Amino acid sequence: MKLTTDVTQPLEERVARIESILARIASGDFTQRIPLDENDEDALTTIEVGINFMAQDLHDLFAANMAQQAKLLAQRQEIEDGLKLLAMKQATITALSTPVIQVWQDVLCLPLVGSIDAARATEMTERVIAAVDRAKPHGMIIDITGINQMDEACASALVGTARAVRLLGCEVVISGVSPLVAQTLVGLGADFGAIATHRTLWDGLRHFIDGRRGQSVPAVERRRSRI
Amino acid sequence: MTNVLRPPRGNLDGVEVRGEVLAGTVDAMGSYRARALVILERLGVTSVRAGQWYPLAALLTTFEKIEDAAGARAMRRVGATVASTAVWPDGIDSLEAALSSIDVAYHMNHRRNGRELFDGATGQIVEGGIGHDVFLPAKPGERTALYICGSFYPDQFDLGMAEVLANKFKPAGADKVTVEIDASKPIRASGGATTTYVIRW
Repeated sequence: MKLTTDVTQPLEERVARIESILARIASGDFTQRIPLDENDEDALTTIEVGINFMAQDLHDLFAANMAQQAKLLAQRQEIEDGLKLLAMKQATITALSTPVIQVWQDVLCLPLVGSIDAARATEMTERVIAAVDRAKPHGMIIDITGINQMDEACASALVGTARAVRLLGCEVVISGVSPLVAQTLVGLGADFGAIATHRTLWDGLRHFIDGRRGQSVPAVERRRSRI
Repeated sequence: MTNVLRPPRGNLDGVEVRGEVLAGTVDAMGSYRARALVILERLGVTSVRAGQWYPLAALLTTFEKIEDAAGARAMRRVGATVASTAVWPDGIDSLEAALSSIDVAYHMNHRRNGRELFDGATGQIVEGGIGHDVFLPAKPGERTALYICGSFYPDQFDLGMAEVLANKFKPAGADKVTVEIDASKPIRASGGATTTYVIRW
């Protein structure tokens, strides 16, 4: 195979063209190809074709990388969207897990279901205090019928919430205390102090109904005097 | 208007080529054979075996890449090598017979969705939407014939084949036969439905 003698393009021109194309490929333009003259077929042609194959490979690899990058970005977006949705659902679940509802005139109720961890205890206390501050009720029933497990942290959270509510001038009653839970609370040494406890929610509600029948001073005025 | 010679370019779904043809074509790539095998491997064709069928799209992509890097001449040479090394059946003794037989061979060696496109019992082509190659012989007294290709194969590949066959089966009295693409008409490489080759002697 000859290097070049009787070809249509001088060797210098072809080398300069190779240099120029290589510079453009090096700068990231992988679509560049060395044009091949129909009349040139020598050792340099092998190099020119080799460079073209290299540029082709770089182009394909770059395209594959870009496609992969786009795929990863899409996956990341999908994960971020999923996390946002999860956070929204978590917020909804948190709100639903500590609902404060009015069960009678001037009486609110916080029905607790499931288990109470530190995060839920904090959320519970904050929501109850906010509700009491907003509605200024006479009484608050914390119903623990749905609490499936009573441990020290749970009992402590319960006592803490009840005391905080009392400090706002609201009478607190804990209802739904089953014999098993009562036994556990005693075992844990939970001190409910002056907080009344009842076996059922109905008993807790009746506590306020009976109290209202017996009182002579309107509830609002009594609350004011306590504060 | 639907062109019966050339199906839409994108209509390669389910079109396959015989392993024998794929292997022969890859061998015909000469110094680019190794490169062609690498390209095919990247396209999922890891081994080529006789008796097996392979996606035609993989072979066409390989052709495109070889032509992109090594130029039109390289692709023409592949077509020429395929035509030179092919074993021609008895009875093929003229340019018309040779170029007319290519369409039959094209349909015998390709299939769509598992359906073969040549009925051996009747000796007829089964229409499979893969295009056709047609030879139009010279009119009496003229020395120009036309070969119109509507197959999926590259223009330069068919040009190389036609050049070899035109010189192998020269018309009576012809000294030298030339084949060139009719540039006045649309060609497949530029999106045309067919490519017309003018054969002169």
